[in-house]
Amino acid sequence: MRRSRPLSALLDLVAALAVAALVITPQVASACAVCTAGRDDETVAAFLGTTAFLSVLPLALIGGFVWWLRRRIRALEADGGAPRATGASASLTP
Amino acid sequence: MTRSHGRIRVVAESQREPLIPNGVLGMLIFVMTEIMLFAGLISAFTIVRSAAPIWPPPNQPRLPVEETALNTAALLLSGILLFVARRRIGRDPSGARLPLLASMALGAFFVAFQGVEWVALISEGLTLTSSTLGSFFYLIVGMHALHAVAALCVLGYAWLRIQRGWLAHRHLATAEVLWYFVVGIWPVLYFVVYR
Repeated sequence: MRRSRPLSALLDLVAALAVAALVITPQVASACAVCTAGRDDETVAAFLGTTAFLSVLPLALIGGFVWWLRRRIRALEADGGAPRATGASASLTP
Repeated sequence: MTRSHGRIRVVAESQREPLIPNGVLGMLIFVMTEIMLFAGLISAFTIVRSAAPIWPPPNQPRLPVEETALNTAALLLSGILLFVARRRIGRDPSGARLPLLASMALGAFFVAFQGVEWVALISEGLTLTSSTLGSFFYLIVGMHALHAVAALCVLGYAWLRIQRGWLAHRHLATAEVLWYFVVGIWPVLYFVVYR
């Protein structure tokens, strides 16, 4: 499928901005005086490690939950998990 | 399907079995938030520890690594016994009483042992305000102990229901999620805090 010229130019601009952000952002983060400046290598490694840990953990938790849910759905389907009658209720009608 | 018998109408209810019982889903969401809480505490502790020039801080007692290893084994065994109780409850609910009781007893032993350890450490000078080690130790281990006590109460409730013959699988599953969280996160805390 051919893209129109304005759309193509817009996509190029977005790509260029994304690349620029990837190049500039780590430098900005490294300039944070609280995190890395004036600290030894072990502390810098601890900051980076815990940042990565805390970033990945929620994704891993949600991903793990979705994976477990899919497994459970498949297991129920394999067992023939069709709707089943679980009881009956009685009510008085006028 | 509806059938009428005189003035009484009988309605057959067809409903799909829930994918996850409500209690289990609620507990899972709670546990996920608690995992993030402990992850934050562990991260803060790791950074403070790496930034300290001397660790443990001077004039502070060493944490009892060997004794706590024994306590860790007791807690892990408790998790295994809960798994045995789960396996048994499907066949014969009364057969799950003993492993569930043993699991709770080991959990209570773990909490009591932690209490004894705390008393000894406080008497040796490690308090909440004595150093960053003391602050983090009591915060992280205390938070875990709080969860252990809450989980023991939930397990106790499940055990009471077994005694009365009321326990449904989903009730035990809810308690299991919390207890496995307490058991599963402890080795991580032990490795991070006590090493």
